Amino acid sequence: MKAEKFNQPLLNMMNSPSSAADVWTRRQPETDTENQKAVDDMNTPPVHTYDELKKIRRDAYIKMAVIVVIIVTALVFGSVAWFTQSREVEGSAVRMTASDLSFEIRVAENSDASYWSAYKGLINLADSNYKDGYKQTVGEDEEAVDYYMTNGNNDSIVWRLDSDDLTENDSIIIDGLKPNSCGTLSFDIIPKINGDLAVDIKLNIRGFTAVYPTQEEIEDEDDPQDPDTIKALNEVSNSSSTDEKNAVKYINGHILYFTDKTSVNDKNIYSGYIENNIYHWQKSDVIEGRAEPVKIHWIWVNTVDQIILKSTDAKSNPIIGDSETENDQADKDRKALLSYIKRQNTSIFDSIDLYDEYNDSNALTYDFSAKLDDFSYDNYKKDEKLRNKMTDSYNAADQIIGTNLNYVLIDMKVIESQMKNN
Amino acid sequence: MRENVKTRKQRMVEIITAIIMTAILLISIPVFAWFTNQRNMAKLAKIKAPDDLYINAAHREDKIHLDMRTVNVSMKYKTTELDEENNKVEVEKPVTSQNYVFSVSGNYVRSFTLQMEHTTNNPFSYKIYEGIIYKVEKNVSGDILSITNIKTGKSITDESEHPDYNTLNADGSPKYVEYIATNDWDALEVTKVTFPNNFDSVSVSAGDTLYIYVGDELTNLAGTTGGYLNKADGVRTANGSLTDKSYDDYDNFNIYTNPLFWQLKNVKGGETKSQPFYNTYVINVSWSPTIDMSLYDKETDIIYISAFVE
Repeated sequence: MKAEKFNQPLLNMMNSPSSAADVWTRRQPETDTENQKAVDDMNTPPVHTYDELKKIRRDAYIKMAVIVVIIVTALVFGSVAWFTQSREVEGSAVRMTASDLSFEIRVAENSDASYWSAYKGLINLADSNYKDGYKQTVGEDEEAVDYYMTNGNNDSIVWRLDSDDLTENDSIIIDGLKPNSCGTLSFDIIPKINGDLAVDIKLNIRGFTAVYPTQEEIEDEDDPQDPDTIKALNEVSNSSSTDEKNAVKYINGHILYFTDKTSVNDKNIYSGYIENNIYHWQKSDVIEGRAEPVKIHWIWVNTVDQIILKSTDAKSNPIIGDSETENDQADKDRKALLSYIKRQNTSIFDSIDLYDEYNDSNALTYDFSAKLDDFSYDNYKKDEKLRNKMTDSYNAADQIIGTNLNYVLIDMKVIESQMKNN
Repeated sequence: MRENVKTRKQRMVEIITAIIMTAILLISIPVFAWFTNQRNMAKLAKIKAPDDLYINAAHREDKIHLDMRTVNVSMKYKTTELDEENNKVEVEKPVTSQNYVFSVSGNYVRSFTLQMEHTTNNPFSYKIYEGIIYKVEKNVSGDILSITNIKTGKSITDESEHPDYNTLNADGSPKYVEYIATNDWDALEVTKVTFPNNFDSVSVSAGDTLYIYVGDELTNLAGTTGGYLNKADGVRTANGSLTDKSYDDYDNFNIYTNPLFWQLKNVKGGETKSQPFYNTYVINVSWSPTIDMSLYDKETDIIYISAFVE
């Protein structure tokens, strides 16, 4: 019926062209039901075929993908831009990079590696986070040297001992450290870039106490234990005794690090004092893969005299050489060490308060702490009482180290840094 | 119709989640890299315990009181024996050993190595025993009132209760060494190691009589006794293994002056980590009863005692 209705006006149009308007006016719905149907038609969504639906879905996916790609690209560009800042930033900004470090470090294995298994066993007891490292053999046959290197997966490795560490009658792992012990920390920096490379080398000593078998374990019939076996190495922490905590403080205060060491008349003379135990190393012409050796000399200073007095003073045995001109290296080292003693005196001298003196009415007549905060080479030399108190409290600190710590880890962190102008 | 609306919402959620996850991933990678922005290497070293050990006379007295002078080889002691007819007969037998007391004291160490070195001019044997110090209270007439262990404070007033008191060893040597204290011990600081007040359960003053009881042969933490490093079995003199320590390449010397080296490692040191300690030892010098000592000239031997921490 509908078709007839539509066709009729068309037919009329064809029959009488002049009455086009009539076609449109005639198209108006003529009944209420027709009206309602038209309204319904407008409100209901159109029915699509299956193919049409697929097309719509695909369009949506494409739109979504485009949006995601745009957002991801924006994020990536943003991050890359943030992390790769210009390297010529002044000041002490730490350079963060989304990529790997510009260097690795490596250490050579001793030609006689028989010490290794016992040594590694002890380090594991102290801190199991230190790994062996990634092995790299350089050279062939007799000249082959095994190196152990850090990398992304091995960022903390064990420092292999060298022949200096294992000298007979003075091995750092068998005989042990005591006042006047000295040695050298050697390793290589392997740059992964060309050009400028700067690192900060931080040195810290961690203290441990050993746990030995109990008398029952030693006398056990089924499994008697050697009284010398170390069952555990416990790190000195905040919950340890005061003496143990002080021992760690004192050994960090008594061991000094230098960049150079020479032998003068069979005595070791040190220069290039490393302040705050942080050694800033930099070089402008490194080549990727070419090893840069680093040597840091350490000494457990025996007496305070050795740091302060000069060779011209009687019974001095100083560790710093003589200063020839003002502000030469020896002069700078002495000044830096004097300032160090004044600033860090609580980490060097034991029980400073015990050396104060009071009169009968309990008034303070000698304030050792105040004297330590402000002394000079001259008054150290002339004031015998000050010199004696400083010597006694320094030796007392050494005694505390020796009676409270059994093992130490000399822990080195190498962190990328900025080039400095000297 | 409704289906489409749902999936659209769901899709929106999925898209947003995906974007958030991507953002998190992108941020976490560089942050992680930042944390491993350093390299570490650590070297382990042992700390040598300070060697604050001293050799003293009995009860940590100054070593000038350590007396190892004359060994009297002609002393005799009386004892009863059964003769052939099983009668008790009093016989005189030669004394064949003599005891001397020394102590090792100092700041706390877990264990130390004890060494003794001596020449062999005399045909003597040397052994080290643990010593236990008793303070003796006597009345005016010299009778013993009490014997008290100065470390534990336990008293033995009845003579017969002390199992070895006043009895002699098989070789005739008394089971204790008598020693007269020469100083107020709590105040003694000659070793620069300060002992706290009342370190012993019983305080000892100058003039006090001490009996140092000869205990067991000295063993270390692992229960082993010491031994000679260069003595061949059955031979009195040193073998050649450590001769170069005393004489280098020189070989023209009297064999009896080549010292014997005796050592015991891991000897127990102190009890409490924060306190000093002293341990008493007895050197027993003995000779064989079959040797006729009257045939020997008087000779002198030198004995060295040392204690140190490995």
